[in-house]
Amino acid sequence: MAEVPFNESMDLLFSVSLLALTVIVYFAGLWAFQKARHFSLLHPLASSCLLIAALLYSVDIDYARYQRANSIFYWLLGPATVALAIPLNREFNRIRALAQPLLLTLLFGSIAAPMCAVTLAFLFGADPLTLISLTPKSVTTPIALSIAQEVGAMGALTAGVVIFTGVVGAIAGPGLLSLLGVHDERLQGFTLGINAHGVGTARAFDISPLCGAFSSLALGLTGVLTALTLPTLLLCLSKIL
Amino acid sequence: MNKVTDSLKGLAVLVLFQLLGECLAYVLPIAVPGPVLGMVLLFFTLRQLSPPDWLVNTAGKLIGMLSLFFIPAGVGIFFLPEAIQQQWPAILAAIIGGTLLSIALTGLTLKALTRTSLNDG
Repeated sequence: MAEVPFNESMDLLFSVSLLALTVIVYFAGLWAFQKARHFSLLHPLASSCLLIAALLYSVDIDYARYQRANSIFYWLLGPATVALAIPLNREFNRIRALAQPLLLTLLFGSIAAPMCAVTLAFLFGADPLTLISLTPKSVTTPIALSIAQEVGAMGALTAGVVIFTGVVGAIAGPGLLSLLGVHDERLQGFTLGINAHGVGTARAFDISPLCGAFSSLALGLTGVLTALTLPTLLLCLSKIL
Repeated sequence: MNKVTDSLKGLAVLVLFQLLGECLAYVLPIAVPGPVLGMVLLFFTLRQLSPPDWLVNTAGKLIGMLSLFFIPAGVGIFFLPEAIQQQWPAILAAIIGGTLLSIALTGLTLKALTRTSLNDG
């Protein structure tokens, strides 16, 4: 059973504690990440989510209650997305020089990312509902959720998958790309933005402001492009199959 | 105190552009979310006027805290309905395998396409 507060002020106090829980766990995670010299498996987002989930389970608090108390963070994603225009503008001249290859890769990537996910999940025997919910996985959360609504996916699953796709991209992306001989920070940034949205972009800003600007660009464009094409693509597929 | 007012001013401008984006999203016949259109509008505005320091600072702070804003949604993956939880091998394969595969594919594509044009610094 979830804890039932007996009056409004208790309810408010409880909400504030749940909000404080997120902030405290996040800064503790960030501190540990820096102490461990950015050891990538300790990514603050991954460790915070795990720890908070474990705490909620152990003291028997509903996720819905936790989510309601923390809705301010969901709200702040809006202005944070708008804020990406600033690094984008600052690096615009260096981006424009590469416009053609970037746009071609964008087209390829925004189809490749959902295809890879759906194919693998299908091979592991996922339901149609799960498969559809995986399709917006490389798109930034607010866009992914509105796409999920549009195509009839399960929003809660989409949101979680999106976040952890970002975490995997942020943890393994730069290393994997260097291994494949993609060393240029502009290319690494753009690839992170296509595949790992805001979480990948946060990682890209750790590498350098230029890397972050390329990632912001890819994040925005992938979001817009996927929002425009994915619902139509799925509609066509459902008619064929 | 000045820092606080600067942050609030910056946040107000960003929210204003988000609001303009939401209005545009409501009018346009496509399903693009308001914040993304707000980003596009702010971008075109900045092509004309250079941004004041307080806006640049607020934006930098918000971008630096992006990971924090994702936490509540990320926690949700541990609280999915039973029927979905049974498919965790497939979901895990998509999240880990699918992401690594598509990063490798897009990274290599981009590298191949930019081989000739990367020498501009």
